[in-house]
Amino acid sequence: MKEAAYASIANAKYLGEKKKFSFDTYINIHQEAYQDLRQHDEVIPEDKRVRDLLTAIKDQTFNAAKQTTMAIQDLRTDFATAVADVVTTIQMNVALVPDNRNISETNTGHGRGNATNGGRGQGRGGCGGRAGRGGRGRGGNVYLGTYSPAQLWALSAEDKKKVTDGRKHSAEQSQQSQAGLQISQVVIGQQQELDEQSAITMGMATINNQQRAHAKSAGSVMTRRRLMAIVSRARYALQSRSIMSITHDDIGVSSMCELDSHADTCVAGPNCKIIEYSG
Amino acid sequence: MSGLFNKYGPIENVLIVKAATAYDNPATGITYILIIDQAIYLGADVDHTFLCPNQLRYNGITVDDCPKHLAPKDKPSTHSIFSHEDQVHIPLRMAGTMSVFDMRTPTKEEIETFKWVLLTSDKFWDPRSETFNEEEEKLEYLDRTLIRNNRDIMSLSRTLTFISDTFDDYLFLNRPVQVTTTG
Repeated sequence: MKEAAYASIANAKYLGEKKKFSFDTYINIHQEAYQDLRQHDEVIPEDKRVRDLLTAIKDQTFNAAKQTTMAIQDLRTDFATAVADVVTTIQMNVALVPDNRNISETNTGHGRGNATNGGRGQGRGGCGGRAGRGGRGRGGNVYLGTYSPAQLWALSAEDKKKVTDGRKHSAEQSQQSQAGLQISQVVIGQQQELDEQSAITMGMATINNQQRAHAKSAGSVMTRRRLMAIVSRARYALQSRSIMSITHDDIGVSSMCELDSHADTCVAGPNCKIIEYSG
Repeated sequence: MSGLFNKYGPIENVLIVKAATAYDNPATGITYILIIDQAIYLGADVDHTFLCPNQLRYNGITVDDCPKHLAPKDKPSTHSIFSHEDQVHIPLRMAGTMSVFDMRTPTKEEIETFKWVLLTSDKFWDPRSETFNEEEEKLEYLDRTLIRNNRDIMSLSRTLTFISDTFDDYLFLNRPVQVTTTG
């Protein structure tokens, strides 16, 4: 029985939230094992329990919580408190971290799956990556984006001419592409129910189905994609708010008070403030 | 409420209020809260506040609105408003031909903090009340009675004087001569 309890502790590993193995399940395994050990007069120190608990958590999202627990002595030496702290931390992180959206499909209309255009998407975000991608040398296309001076210097004269011509051609097409835009749609795979209200449409400029010479590679297409519009549906109207009171500073008025022998009653003017209504 | 000119017509549904205004005494720097009860509230519809001198006097406030330079020499004017109860003296100044003093809108804290001076009473103020006329006629009657009594007294005095003078003349003529001495 003791061996089984030790084995269950040793074998229990938390790799992340699963449908049939939640963090609660993982905690229950430890707690039941320690109860069994206690029945057999096996006393496990609290710090060892906490250490075993944290060691077997392999989910990286728990790293911060694990470090916090190990850093604080009160948590490190109390199994129940440590469990509560880890659970609380994870719940807070889940509440703060926005939902990730995975794009399951991208339909850009063309430029995808062309073997001659080379790989796409790799090395994006840096000049070096840009210069090296797009299948230059494999597909024969020249990247028309930004080059560093050293990269530009390394280009051959032929490639430089292609870059210059391509940019010029691209600029001309850009001016002509104000009309006739084909809009493709990005379909968001996860949480489609929620994402129906925030589907993003992106556009790519083509003119009369004539593809630009420099845009044959999918990577180039993605680089030059233009976000044409964001279409949202089923917007939620903000609820009206009731204001309890409005407080504003007193604006004092200084003026004369006149003794008018013709007046048969006093008249309170702008420099007076009403205390109460008499009639 | 109606104005001086009938062609402008009366203003209806005016509020009768108890209002407060702040008065900063220029001599002492002390701020007083002047309470004007039973007053018509026109607010920003008028340029300044109007005080009915008789409404103040009705509350025991001394209103001496005679300019000092126009007061008779044997009865000089203070040209001020004086509250005997609160011992507050509000000097007046001239704005054109009108006697005025300056005041301003008080803040909520000032109303709750500074001393209140009740310029007008909280008793119902009827501008068309006949009470003022009746009280005035009573005093007129007393004055007339006093004058008539004075006249009677003077007449009696003159009669007595006449009688006295006549009696003295008779006694002078009929006085007894005791000794007649001729030289």
